[in-house]
Amino acid sequence: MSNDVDLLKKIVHKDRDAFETIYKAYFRKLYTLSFRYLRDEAIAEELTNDVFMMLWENAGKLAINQSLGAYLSRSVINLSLTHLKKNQRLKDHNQNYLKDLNPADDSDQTDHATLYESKLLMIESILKELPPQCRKIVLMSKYDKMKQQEIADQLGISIKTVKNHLTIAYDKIRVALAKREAYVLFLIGFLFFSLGLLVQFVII
Amino acid sequence: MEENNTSRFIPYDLIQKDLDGVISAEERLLLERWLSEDVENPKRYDEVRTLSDDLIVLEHYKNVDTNSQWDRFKQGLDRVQATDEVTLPTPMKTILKPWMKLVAAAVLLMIGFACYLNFDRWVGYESQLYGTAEQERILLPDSSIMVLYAGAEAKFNTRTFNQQRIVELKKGKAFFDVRHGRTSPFVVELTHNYVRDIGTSFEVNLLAGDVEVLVKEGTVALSGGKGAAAKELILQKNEKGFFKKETAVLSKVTVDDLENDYKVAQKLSYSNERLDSICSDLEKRFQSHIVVVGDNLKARKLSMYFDGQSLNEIVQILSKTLNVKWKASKKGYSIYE
Repeated sequence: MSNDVDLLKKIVHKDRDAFETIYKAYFRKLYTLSFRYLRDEAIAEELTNDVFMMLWENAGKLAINQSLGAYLSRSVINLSLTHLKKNQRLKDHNQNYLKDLNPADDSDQTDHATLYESKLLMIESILKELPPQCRKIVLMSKYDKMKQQEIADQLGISIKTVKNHLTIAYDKIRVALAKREAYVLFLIGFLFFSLGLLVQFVII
Repeated sequence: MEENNTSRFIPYDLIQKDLDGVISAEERLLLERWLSEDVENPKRYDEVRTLSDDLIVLEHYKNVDTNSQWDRFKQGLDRVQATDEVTLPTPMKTILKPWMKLVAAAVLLMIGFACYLNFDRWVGYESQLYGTAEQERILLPDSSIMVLYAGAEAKFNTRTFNQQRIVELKKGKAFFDVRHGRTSPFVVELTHNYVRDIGTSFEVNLLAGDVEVLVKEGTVALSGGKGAAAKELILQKNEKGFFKKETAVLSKVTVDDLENDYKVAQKLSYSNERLDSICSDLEKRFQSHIVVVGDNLKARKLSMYFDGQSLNEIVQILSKTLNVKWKASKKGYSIYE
């Protein structure tokens, strides 16, 4: 983060190299965050680039009182939500994600893009750990958009086996993600507990 | 469904079909039944839906080529920068020449000076008064009374009046009844001189730059100029002081002497008459004495009409008309070149 602050100072003085570093560090996750809501590659790309352009042109005027990641995430989310407002169909589809996001909540210190990226990377690592046949069926279903019967036909297996593989894959991912959330909560609780002990120790 | 009918069972295949929009009516019925079996099931449905979406997003995440994105973005950045350079306004430093700064500083200084001079007026401390009615009675901040006659104009500063009791009489006639028991003197500032109250009520009349002060009560000092070194003429009760603008001469008469002068003339009309004969007629009418100095002046002819003026005012009007001087004394009036 301190590195981000240094880079940001350089961007204020129109340092192209510093800006390139920031762009390359954040583009992928910001684009992915925007795509999560918009489901449109071109618009997600355009909105993400708009945020970077805004950073480049107004770096000197921006009052960033949180981490750069949190600021950029909030900017991408706000732009995406504004776009969604104009597109009711997408808005309805994404209601599940949107309920936790308040576009006016600029005090939100969470770097949503980094959090979401880490979730995706975790899903990716779980997928890699799946049995080859199971992983193949998930990829065919999600990435190749094949129907369950088409997958069964192509792999020469019964549709019931396809359903079982999908169930195994989803279950594993769900459980792993749930464990991760529990681990994160435990970690936060542990940190607060340690902090409390430290404060008590200092007072005594 | 039939093989896993527990509350924790999740029909992934049905959810996936529902999300893909390929679910049959029979399968939808099964899915809806599962959703209604447990209050947690709609949450599980959302969870799987999110996971399904995340898998799609993951594919896009992996396919992002940051370098090629940067290359494309860089081109846009170059265009913006080029436009900025074209439309960049000329810096102020190149527009402003040194002499312009000097002029700007001078203008600012003048504005500041004007603000300083007019501060009291602009912020409403300066009270400007006009005698619109026959007699405008005004209570000053120190409880003194000023009566402005019709056409008179005066001003004073409400902010500083209690420290410096100064009323500026611009024109016309005003009467002052000064409240005493204060350390600061009461001064009526005039264009060329001033009237300083010593303990009295008095009347000041401005006539084309000349000043008449009539003391009704107490004592007044009429100055022959401005400043501390100005000569002052002390006037007692019933004395009338005169200040002539052109000569800066101070003189005084008692009102008893002038009593007749203050008789108001009836309608008087003179048509192409000599000045000495006009004065002779006035002497009879006002029972006063008017000396015209010089044969040439005596022989000058005038056509005049008076209605309601005092002798004093008539003498002044005559002098103004002929562009000559006049003065009042205990014996009467003198008109001379």
